[in-house]
Amino acid sequence: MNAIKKMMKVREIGVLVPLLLLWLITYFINHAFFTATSMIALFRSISVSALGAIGASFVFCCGMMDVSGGSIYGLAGMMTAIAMKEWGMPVPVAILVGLLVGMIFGMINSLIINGLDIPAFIATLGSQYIARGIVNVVSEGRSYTGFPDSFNGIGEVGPLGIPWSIYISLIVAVVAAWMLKYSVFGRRLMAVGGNAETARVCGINIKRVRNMAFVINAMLCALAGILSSARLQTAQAAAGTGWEMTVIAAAIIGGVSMYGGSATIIGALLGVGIMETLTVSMTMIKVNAYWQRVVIGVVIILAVGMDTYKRKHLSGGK
Amino acid sequence: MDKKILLEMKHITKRFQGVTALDEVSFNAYEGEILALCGENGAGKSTLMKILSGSYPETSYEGEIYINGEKCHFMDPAQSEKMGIGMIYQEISMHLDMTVAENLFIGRWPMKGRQVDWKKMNAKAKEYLDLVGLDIEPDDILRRLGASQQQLVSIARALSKDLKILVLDEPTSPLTQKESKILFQILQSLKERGIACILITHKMDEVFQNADRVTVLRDGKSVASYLLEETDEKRIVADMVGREITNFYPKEKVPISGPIMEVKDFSVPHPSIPDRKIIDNVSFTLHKGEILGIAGLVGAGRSELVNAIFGKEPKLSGKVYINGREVQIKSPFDAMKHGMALLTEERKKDGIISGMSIRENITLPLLKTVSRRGVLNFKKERELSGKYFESLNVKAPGTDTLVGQLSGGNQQKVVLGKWIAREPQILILDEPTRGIDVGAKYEIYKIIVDLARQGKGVIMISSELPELLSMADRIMVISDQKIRGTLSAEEATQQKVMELSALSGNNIA
Repeated sequence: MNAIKKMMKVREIGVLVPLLLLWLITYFINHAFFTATSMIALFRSISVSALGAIGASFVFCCGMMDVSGGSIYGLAGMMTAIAMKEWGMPVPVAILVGLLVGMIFGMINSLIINGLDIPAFIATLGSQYIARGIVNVVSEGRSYTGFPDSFNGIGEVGPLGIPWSIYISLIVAVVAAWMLKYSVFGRRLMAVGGNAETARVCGINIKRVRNMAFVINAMLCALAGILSSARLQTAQAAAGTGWEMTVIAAAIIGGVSMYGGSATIIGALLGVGIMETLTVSMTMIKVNAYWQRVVIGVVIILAVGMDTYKRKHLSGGK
Repeated sequence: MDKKILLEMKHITKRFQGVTALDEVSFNAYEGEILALCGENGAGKSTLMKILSGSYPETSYEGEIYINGEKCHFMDPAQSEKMGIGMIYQEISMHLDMTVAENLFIGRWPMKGRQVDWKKMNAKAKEYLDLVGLDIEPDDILRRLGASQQQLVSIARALSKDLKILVLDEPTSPLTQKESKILFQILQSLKERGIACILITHKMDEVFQNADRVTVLRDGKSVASYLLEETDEKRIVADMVGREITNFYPKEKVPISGPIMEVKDFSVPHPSIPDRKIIDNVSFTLHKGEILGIAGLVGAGRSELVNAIFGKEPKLSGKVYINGREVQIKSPFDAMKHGMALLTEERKKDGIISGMSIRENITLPLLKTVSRRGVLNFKKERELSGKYFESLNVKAPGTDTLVGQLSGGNQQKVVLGKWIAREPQILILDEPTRGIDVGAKYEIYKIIVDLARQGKGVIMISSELPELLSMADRIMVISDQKIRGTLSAEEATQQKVMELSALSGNNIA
């Protein structure tokens, strides 16, 4: 009994249990769920969205919000494609171009927020439109395909029959978790999210910390966009539309607080697991695609509601 | 006095988590009078008025309220308003982007069917604006008006609700001398209409020029009530401060040597009123081994001055010299680099991070010390935070306890701990013992004395005069933008400090 109580105190358990339940239910309804193919497909999509959820965790941790991720995802994938196809750049350089686009947008976001004192939600909503607009302008609405094999290979499976994107996400997750716990930057991030004024009085440059969080998030979104176009062997102008909400919801479901000051990478990963499984299993159960959106909307509201409730009743207040 | 009693508050007792804020206070107001309510910060004036205004529901205190002999049960401000009680706070609590008329009738706009009857509303508004002598249009946007006009609008709003009792909490602090005069003329006219005006103020000249009666609160008790002609300023001030100084201050005389910090020509903008200074051209010197007290009323600009010195808030002008050399301080980081530390006034707002542990809070200004190349050294962090956790005697299971779970006194020790851990040369303490229990206070005093003994310079802001009188080597009194006097420990008395605190630019000249 005591052991169970102790387990329940680890906050990630609250996400792991529903995730396992979800898997079991899906399995009972459709046994095809636990085959290697569908598992690899599931984990592949988890790995791409995980990058966004990890980025969102950094932004939430310092008490901010970023809804431009989906557009940065689309723009980075597109710019990498254009760098390869139009500018004839080698694959590694093209990938760097995509990441650079992410970095620039991260900096633009933080400049708008820190410099003009515009609320993060509004600022990043603006840059979401700007980035999406640029994707359409530079691609003229076209899709790009026919990338070099070395680029498409990133979307394939690597050693042990596991897709490269899973390896990449794992490395990112480990580094991110390490940063939050063991680095001075991670501590500063928590402090700024916990109480920005206290952090400022303690000599922390809160603008610089926020800037870092936005840049990290934008670069991770860009990476996700690049991985996704390698996987699909296509760069589309509409890629990543609405993706930011999925990853933000995943992070919140996983227990990352929207109110700042705490974050859990494992939780964020489990949250992505729930979101992606929901999509896969609803398809397997043959839930109508329109209704799927309704379900996901309800899940997002429930997750935020729980975060707010925890904040009010369990933490002892701020 | 042959006037009729309008308001009776009987045996009001109010406790906050074990602290008695009001202890059996009885309080009367008569029809058509101006009653001054005086007392030190924390004496219970605002609490008493919040009970009257219904901000604290009837169930949260003991005692009874009668208006015109009728017993009142106020559960919220709306019920109190209905009985004719109007409150004017220091901070304007109106909708700045609505028109004057909308603000006057907020929530009870005159209607024509389902729509607001603007014509009728503006016409009615004009009547009330005339009553308070305001020559503005009902459709002016409130934001465009000056502070005094906004205040008069809020009085007009109170009048529009069949006002019987008007409570004004430090109404003149945002006003100029001329504007204050107009306000008091209006209060006189309200008085003639039979309204009781309760005036909370620290300014003795206002009391003596305008009030009919004065009631003094001290430490949550009603200690005296006089007709104005029966008393004088000295008597009232003595009543306000007249508590005994219990001797629990571990003050030691330590040698005071040369200057450690000089502040020159500091001017600081007012935090809420544009184009106004809260501190104007102030200079002072802090010495090694000295505890320099800063006294003054709440809102006099004491915190604003030290916050600006520390780079936490902007300044208009001024220079800081540390050990004779001018230093540029643009942010708390700069100040810390030059050996300064600031314990801020409100620990919840900018002192602690309640969701972090004691350890993480203590090392927050020391992350460089407990890390190497950007990587935290947990062992070092534990040692360092543990050391101050022990020496400050923080009562908690361990350094991993969240600060949000500690009592106020222990939170304060953590905040103090994080700054002492930096071993600062200059320590600025803004209300270091506010809201904490006697035992924790004593321990904090000991730490302060200890720092002075080590030859550090300590600045201590406090609203508790006995504390300042016992701990400080010198007391600097700030009032109305300036230092109005600096008293040595030998010459300082509560009386003298209170008199200086009540000075303003016009009554010294």
